[in-house]
Amino acid sequence: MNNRRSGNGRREVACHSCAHWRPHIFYPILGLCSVRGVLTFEDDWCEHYKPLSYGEDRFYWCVTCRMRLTAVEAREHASRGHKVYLSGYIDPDVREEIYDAF
Amino acid sequence: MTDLNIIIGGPQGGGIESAGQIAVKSLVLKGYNILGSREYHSNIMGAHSYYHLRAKEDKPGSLTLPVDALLALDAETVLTHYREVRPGGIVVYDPAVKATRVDSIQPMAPPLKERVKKDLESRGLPTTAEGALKAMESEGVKLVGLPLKAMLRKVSEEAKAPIASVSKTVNTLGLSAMLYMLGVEPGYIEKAISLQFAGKEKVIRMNVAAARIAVEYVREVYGEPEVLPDGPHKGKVRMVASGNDLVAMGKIVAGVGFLSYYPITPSSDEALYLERHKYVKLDDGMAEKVGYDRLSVVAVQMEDELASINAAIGAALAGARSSTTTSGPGYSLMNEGISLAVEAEVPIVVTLWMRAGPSTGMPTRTGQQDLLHSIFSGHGDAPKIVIASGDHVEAFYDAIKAFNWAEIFQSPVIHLLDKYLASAMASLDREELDLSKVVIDRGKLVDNPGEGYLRYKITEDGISPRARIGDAVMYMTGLEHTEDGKATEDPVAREQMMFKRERKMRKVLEVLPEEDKAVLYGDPDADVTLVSFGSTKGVILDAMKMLEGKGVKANFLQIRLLSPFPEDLVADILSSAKKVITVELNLMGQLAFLLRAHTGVKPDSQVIKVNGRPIYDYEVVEGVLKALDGAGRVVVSGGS
Repeated sequence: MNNRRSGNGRREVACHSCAHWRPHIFYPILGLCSVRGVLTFEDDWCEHYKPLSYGEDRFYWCVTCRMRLTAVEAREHASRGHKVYLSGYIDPDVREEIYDAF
Repeated sequence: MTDLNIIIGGPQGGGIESAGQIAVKSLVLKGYNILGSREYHSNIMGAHSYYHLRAKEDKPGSLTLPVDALLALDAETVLTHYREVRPGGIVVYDPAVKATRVDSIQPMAPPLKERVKKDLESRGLPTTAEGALKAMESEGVKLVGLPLKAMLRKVSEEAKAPIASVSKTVNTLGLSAMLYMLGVEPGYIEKAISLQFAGKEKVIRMNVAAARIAVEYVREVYGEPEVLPDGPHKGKVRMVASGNDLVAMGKIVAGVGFLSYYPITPSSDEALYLERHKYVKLDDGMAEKVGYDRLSVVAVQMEDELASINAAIGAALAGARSSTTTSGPGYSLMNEGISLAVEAEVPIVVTLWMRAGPSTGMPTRTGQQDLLHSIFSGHGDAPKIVIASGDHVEAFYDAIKAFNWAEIFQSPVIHLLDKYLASAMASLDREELDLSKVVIDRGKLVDNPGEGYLRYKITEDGISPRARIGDAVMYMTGLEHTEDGKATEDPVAREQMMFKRERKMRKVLEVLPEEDKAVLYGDPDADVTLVSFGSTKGVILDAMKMLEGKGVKANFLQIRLLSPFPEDLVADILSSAKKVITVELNLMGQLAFLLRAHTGVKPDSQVIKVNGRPIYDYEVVEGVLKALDGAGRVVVSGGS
């Protein structure tokens, strides 16, 4: 199952389509596996794989828009081809790069 | 002659600042003078941000476009800057972003998307990052694709480090590839990485590994580039500092005892620098004399700007060299305090970092829109001193002078700067900040005023002996007062105090040297005189050389003292000007207004920029040429 690939050669069953994966908010080729607690690449895979779905009434994270979404919005964004996940991963060191701006 | 221009762009928080700093350090180590500035959004995370850098043998006074190299860490950067790379330049990007459509980049401003789509469509190109890359390629820009994912895996394997650690090296991969392609030897890049992350050995190891992998990759795929010649300062110990840093350093040298602030862009970094360096070590001789080995600056974050200015006033009354720092919106709130400081003759320094208003406007973008605001701040007739610095070195010395003038003339001094200068980094020689030139003058400060002391004694120059509160019986009020400070509405006493405050400003004009009032650069007999203030100085000086190449002889009148306005000096200089063009970053032509009000000189033309981006040398040239063609007002609009 883990070798199935889409038209663009990308492995379909991989972190990028897993419910446990939290993509890096800036560089979403990377992300945090919330089960194993490690960063993985988007095309990695493990036995904890669980397909993403947007049925649960909770907040989601849209990688394309870099914004948090409600469940209704998540379904809408996903239907437009956006990459939507249960959450994003913020590198804790990101603060060193954020300026005080207000 | 080397003149290297670079843009490093990506999501804010994605390592852009670090990459910019490493680039700056690499090129300074290589021996170049640098000028670099960051442009970032005020909505904090993820929006497009970029670092714009120039390296030259002589001092760059201005950033410029187009650039020689663009490092695009995401699709938005490719699509935002693809028209800003010169033919023959390079763009370093991740091929994985190619398919990204303009429309799918949500953080990108809709008007920019429309402009990009229109441009790409007009060229028959797809409205994707790939379309923008093709547009660059068709203009002779070399595309350098870096497969970032594969490279990160390699860093992880070679450094035997988890992905979590190597994930922070994305920017280093791109930056190292770009610098190497520009001819910077890997040794300089690695040394700059070590300096950037000094004390964090693991981070250094990881980033050096990333740099080596990136260099190896581009060398293999694109071949060995021509080595960039060393700059004239190679091997010298030099300093790299922002305008914010230098003002804070100036305040420390001036002996600031108290700094209050409420955080606001772009002034906060000045206050934070001062907080980080609040303990000043005394030399042995001084330590022995005073009985302790270090002094401390009290740097306090207050609850708002009203508290900031009033705390600064209190500290000044107690005898400390006292200051507050803010930008336009904060200064609006300080207005009442400014008026109080004028009335009560309190020596405070207010550092005002202008940014793009009105209101919150564009908090992280630059402008010179608070010139009139600073001069006319405070209700009632509230004369005060306003000095504007033109560059980093001036910012340092002016910060010191501001304290002297505040105490000599017992007046608030507004030190006027802007966001561009705040965040612009410049390389400096140690000798440029010459402490032997620093004079500390506390004016008529008296230790033991004795009986019968009159805090507001009427004097010929309007300046009275100033005792610290607690050293004498005195009254301090915002009400009009008699010589002993007691409130009065007596018409004669009122007039005396009004004219006393006016005489102090006359004294300012009398005693300040010309170089602190207005400076003429270039041939006095030039065809055109450019008049400006603040951070446009370096840009105009660079533009003058470019204009000369186009057969236009220009000189430049930099007005440093904006209040009291040195009208005799300025009128005298302009009396022989053949054509006068003002250059300023505001809509109203605020400097042009002042010129006309004080000297009767109406500029023949005005070059203005109001889009929140710094003005570039080529824009001044364009503006002047249009003005010489008869345009009354020229609006220049460069930058992303």
